[in-house]
Amino acid sequence: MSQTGTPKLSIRGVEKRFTIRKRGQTHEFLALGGIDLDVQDHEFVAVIGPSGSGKTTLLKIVAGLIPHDGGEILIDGTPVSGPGEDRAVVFQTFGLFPWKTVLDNVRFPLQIRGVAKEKAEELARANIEKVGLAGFEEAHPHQLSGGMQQRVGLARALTADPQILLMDEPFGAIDAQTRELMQEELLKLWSQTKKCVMFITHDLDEAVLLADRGVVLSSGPGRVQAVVDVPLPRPRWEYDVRAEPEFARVRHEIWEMLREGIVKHEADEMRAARGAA
Amino acid sequence: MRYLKHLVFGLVFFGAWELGGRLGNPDVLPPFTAVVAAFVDILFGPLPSALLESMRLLVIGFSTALVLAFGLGLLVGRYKLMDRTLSPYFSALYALPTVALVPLVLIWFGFDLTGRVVVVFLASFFPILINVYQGARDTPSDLLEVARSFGVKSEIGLLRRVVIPAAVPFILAGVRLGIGRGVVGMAIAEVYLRLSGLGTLIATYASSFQTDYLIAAILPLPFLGVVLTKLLAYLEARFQTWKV
Repeated sequence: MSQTGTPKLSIRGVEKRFTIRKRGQTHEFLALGGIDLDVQDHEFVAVIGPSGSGKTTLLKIVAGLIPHDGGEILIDGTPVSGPGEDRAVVFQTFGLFPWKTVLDNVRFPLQIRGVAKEKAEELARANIEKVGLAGFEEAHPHQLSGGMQQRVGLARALTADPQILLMDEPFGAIDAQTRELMQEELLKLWSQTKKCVMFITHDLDEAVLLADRGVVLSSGPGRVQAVVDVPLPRPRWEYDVRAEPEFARVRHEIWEMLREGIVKHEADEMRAARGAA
Repeated sequence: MRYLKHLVFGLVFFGAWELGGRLGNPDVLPPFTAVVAAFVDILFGPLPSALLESMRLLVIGFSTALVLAFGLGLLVGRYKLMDRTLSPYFSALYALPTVALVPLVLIWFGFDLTGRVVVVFLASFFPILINVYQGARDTPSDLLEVARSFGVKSEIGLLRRVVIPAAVPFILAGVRLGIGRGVVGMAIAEVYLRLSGLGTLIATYASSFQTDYLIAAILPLPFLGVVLTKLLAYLEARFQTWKV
């Protein structure tokens, strides 16, 4: 149980610089310019931003996969560096090991932790069933559709049993119809566990449909431009969320923010290009 | 029906050989049946011990090459500094025919077992090295991230969990090439360094113009090729249970 007032996940002034070497010259650019964001336990936060806003970079920093240059990441108020059992990632490109079966992919996190094989398999099987893949335990990833592969990715993250679930555009590489189905199933799964979720997306509808709050990032450098509450009642799969006037209102609000950021960024880019010419 | 085409081809090919041998000079082309008779003769004579000696050379040379090429390939594939420093030499040495190195090997290592093993080693080493290196270098970076995110911390762990399994198709391709080249290296070493194994048989029959026995002594080499290829196909089916 988290103490009142202490967020589950706290991102404080996180900066990220990238150095690019080009024709012997080194250029440095700021990908993330001081990100502040708190996510409470049991909260579903969607981070929305145009490409180049560094949203995936931010997720990888929170996951401990890449280092950051300033600020800190706190979990339950304690700074963390590097990956940890308290976080699990669902990757955009699924990230399944092609040489492993579905079952072996899903039990991978427990295998690394040295959990006994029988116990790990039992937990993995339960999660495979939870994502609707019972019967596919012995299949290899290349035998599955994109939607099914991401179910495996989700089952693997659930098997790691993290406190924070980090999802990096998980449905971005999946066809539109399957995506809607997966979004609905994610809502149901989340209602059972109510884990703290940080969900990266560039899809406005997806953000509004799933999240309690939408965090809008601007690009060049990535900054938190606005945080928009999504006051749509749950469970959201029991009614047509997209038909609600409130859905349209929130979507519009986020879009205005996003648009402002994109237009400003484009103008900056054009000015820079003209200056260089 | 499946075997019909083989049967027809075999009849035509070996029939023509037999006919050519009987009509022409048997010292140049002995008839097929004479070669078969010679083969049966050496099969119950000097062939088994000669083959065993050759195999010993192949096994020692190839397994040394496999172990060292595997280790070095992983290292150079995983570390950028080693990659930049060493990889340009790989392609150069890969292109170098083993025969050209024989005189040098003779001077450096002599013509005993050591020298012959070195020839087989050099023949097998580079194809394996280059494939393992490519496999290790092209490890999908997203899979490395996956492993790290779920708690794999050490380089050894990443090698064991991701790099090596992901490189299996490359490694097997390298082994296939390496064995083929190794057989060539074996034949070269046994004929040009010091006569031993099959090389002794081949050179002896050649110098005495026993062409039927000469061809019979060469026959184990393609046989060896077929057997080793079958063995590898089995290994591939065993270790490569997945496709990209």
